[in-house]
Amino acid sequence: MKKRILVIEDNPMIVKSLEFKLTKDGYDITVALDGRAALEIINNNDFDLVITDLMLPFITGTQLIEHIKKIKPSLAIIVLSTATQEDIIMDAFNMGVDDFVTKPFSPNELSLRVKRSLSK
Amino acid sequence: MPNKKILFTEVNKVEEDIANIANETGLEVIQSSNSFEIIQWVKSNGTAALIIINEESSPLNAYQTQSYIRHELDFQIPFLILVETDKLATVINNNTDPLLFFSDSIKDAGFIKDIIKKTKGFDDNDDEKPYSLEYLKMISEGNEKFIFETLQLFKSSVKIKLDELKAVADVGEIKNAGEIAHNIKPSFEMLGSETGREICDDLCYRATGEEIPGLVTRLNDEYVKIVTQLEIDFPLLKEK
Repeated sequence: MKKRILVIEDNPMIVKSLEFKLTKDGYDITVALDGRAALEIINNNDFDLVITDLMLPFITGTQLIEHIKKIKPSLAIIVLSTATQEDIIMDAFNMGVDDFVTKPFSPNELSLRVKRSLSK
Repeated sequence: MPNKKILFTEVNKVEEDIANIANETGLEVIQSSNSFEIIQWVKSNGTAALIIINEESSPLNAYQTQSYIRHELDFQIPFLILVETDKLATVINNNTDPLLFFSDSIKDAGFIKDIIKKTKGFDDNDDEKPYSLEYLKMISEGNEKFIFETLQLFKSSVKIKLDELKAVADVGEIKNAGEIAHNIKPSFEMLGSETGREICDDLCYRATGEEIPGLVTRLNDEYVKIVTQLEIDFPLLKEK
């Protein structure tokens, strides 16, 4: 059975690239374009991994991570970030995320990090 | 870069000359097995420096292929049509319809570069293009449909965000301007626009309220420059 990944990102070009790459790698992908939609999807569905931006419409990435950790503590999380968001990335790690990928992402790096997060 | 490629079909007869052509011209030679693949490549990748094709190519012959690319796809790419030696026609070259014939065995590839220059298919200013497809090619392993659709997304989604940016810039909302710029920064990065990236970073992290309108104008100018060049290289983008 395919592993299921929820992608939470509001830049459509990044979304398209993630969908393309992750589908090619053999995963089932669901997309949420903002934090509010993501919450609803997470509350009603099961996933093996969440890949989320840290700056989202309606709810911030860190608020979203906090919520995920409360309701689904074993769900793996990778954050998408820009290289200049060190403080926010550290906050996310302190909250228990598994890994991060900078945007725009390297396809090989993404594949490796996803694989590693799913195998934990 | 699109203009640094030669498309070459029906390779069997002149396969041994391909390396020569690449070496002599410094251009990348893209091989295809029939005229349909040539058309598909142009649809997805845009213009090329030259198309070398056998007169009796299939499923469309050289003239049909040329007509389709010139009139349906609106690319004025010069053609070098290879004919049987005993049917060798006079080389025809004029400014409006560069159509060249040559024998089907290219022994001396050195002239290809001159042909390209003569028909203005060789653009020495390729390095000055405001965008690059290298990242998209890497992500998709050269998937032409993905690349074209992503370019469409760039054109439409960045326009929407730039309109939002102008609206918040007009009222000096620094925080909102930074958030919007953060959102569209990867879009410029994915098309290799260093200028776009730097302006977005200024908007995100460094700009004062007074500087925002000027930066937004510069970002919009960069967007227009990119889209203008994209629409030249991919005319089908104009329709979307």
